Amino acid sequence: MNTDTTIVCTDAMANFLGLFDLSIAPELLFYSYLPIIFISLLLGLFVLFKDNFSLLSRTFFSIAVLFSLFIFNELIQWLAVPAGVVYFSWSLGLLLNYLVLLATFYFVFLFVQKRDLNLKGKIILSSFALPVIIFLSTKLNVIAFNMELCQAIPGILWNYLYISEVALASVFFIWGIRLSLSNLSIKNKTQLSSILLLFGSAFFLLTYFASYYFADATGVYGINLTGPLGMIIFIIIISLLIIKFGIFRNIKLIATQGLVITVSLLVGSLLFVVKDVITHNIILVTFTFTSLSGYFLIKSVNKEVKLREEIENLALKFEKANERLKQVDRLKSEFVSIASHQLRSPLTSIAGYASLLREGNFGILPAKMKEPIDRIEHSARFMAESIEDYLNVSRIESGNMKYHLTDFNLRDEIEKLCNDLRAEALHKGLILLFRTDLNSKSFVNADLGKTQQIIHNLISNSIKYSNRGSITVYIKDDIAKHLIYVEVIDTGIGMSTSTLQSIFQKFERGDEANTINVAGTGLGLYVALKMAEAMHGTIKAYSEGEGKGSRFVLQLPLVM
Amino acid sequence: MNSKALTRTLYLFMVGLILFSISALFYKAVLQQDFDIIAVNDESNPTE
Repeated sequence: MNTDTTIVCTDAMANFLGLFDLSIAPELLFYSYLPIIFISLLLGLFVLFKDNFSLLSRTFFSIAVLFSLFIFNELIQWLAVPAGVVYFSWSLGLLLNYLVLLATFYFVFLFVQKRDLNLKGKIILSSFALPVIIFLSTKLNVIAFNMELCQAIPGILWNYLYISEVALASVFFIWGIRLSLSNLSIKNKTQLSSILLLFGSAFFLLTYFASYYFADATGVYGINLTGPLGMIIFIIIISLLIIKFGIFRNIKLIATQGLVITVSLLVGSLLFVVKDVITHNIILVTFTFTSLSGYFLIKSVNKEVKLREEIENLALKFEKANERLKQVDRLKSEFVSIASHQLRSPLTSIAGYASLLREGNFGILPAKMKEPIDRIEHSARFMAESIEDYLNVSRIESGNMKYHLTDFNLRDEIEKLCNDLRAEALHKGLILLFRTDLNSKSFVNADLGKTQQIIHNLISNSIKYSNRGSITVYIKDDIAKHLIYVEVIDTGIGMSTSTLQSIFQKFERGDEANTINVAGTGLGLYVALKMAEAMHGTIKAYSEGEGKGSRFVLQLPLVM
Repeated sequence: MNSKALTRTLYLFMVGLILFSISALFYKAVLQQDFDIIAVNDESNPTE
């Protein structure tokens, strides 16, 4: 024990602050230690601020600070002249080393598990550090001080550190392998980044372990210098995670800058170490090349980040617009529902009661009431049909029209329809003819109700727009083409070329239509065409001109 | 006490313990210089 005079290492001369020998400093300062302290603190700070002080970023910052302290402590250990300071620094190194280890575990846990460690876990984790903290100033940490070499002789606690390092590295390694083997087919970005971090951290710890263990084992403490290189690997991995996987939001650019500065600094610092002129020049060229490519890398990443920001803004706008569209669509559906139930049902009721009144179910009607009742019934039925047309358009456009396809005999259905509509045609003085030219059994695979509706619509139109002559419904097939055709030919008002082009569009009606059938909606043919198309068919219209009649052809696939 | 307060207590305890042990180490190593010194190639025979 010596409290009056300071014990100093004999192989060194204190030339800085009376405590340090800087003769060994340049190499260490410029190449290994200071750049690493600088880069770790810089990256830690950037991550902390850019990730809004999240738990993950705080933990990363803690690692950076602890690591920088550790490196600084190493520097003191190398440069200090008083034995007490070297001894202190050496002993403290164990604690800092162990804290870096625990912080690394905590960081990896947070990153991979995406949740905080519970209180029990934190107590267990802290308890691992207890032996190191409690026995910090005992011989379990440092046995004695080697005066000649100005080195401490490590105690058993260092073995505890080495075992912990190897154990934790193994845990990370096994964890990484297990993650790699699980869900191989659906490996996502998060999982890949976790695997990378696990392997990277394992490597980081092993580098650490190796540099100290072998330095102790061989007594060649120069090996220690390779230890901090582990941190470079760790920094590179974190930067990679940031650049490649975008962990810690929005700092891709900063991470790239960090990476470029690290590499440039490391290459540049070699210039201070190397004395040989040729090597010096080679390093100078490498440094220039690295810095230049780094500059272009930063530039391109900057461009990419800006583009991404623009895309994100656009995506946000689209999302809002989409939300609005969904809302409008919902309103439209609600409207359709209201129209369907609240308008159609009363109309059916009005038409039904008018019919019952006309037929005398509520007593014999006076003769002069018959016409008004007929008008009520007719108008109500017309209105119901119009609403049905609007509803059909709405269903077709929203893709909600349902088709129940079945095989049925088209010829029989058309014959029935012709029989039903013949009276209406006769009422207008028209002859309704039904002709066939079939080589097959005329089976089609279509929605029966909708097919009836289409053909009913075509024949009704012909009746409406013809004042004399005949209407011929002609059904024929083409077995080679697997098609069946239903032609409705009339001798009515016909269509001009321009009308022919637009007749199937919504709300389009023939030029003469308004004078003949005032009440039409102009939706019938549009709905008919859409329905035919949905059943893999089509409708075409032909006319030789106004006043020369029309021909509508429905084409459907034939079932052989 | 809730989990957050317990966690904070745990951290304070650990930080306190670490600061205390570092102070003790500093006192022992730097101020008192209370450690064994050995000569080169004579690790088995620590001397003061």
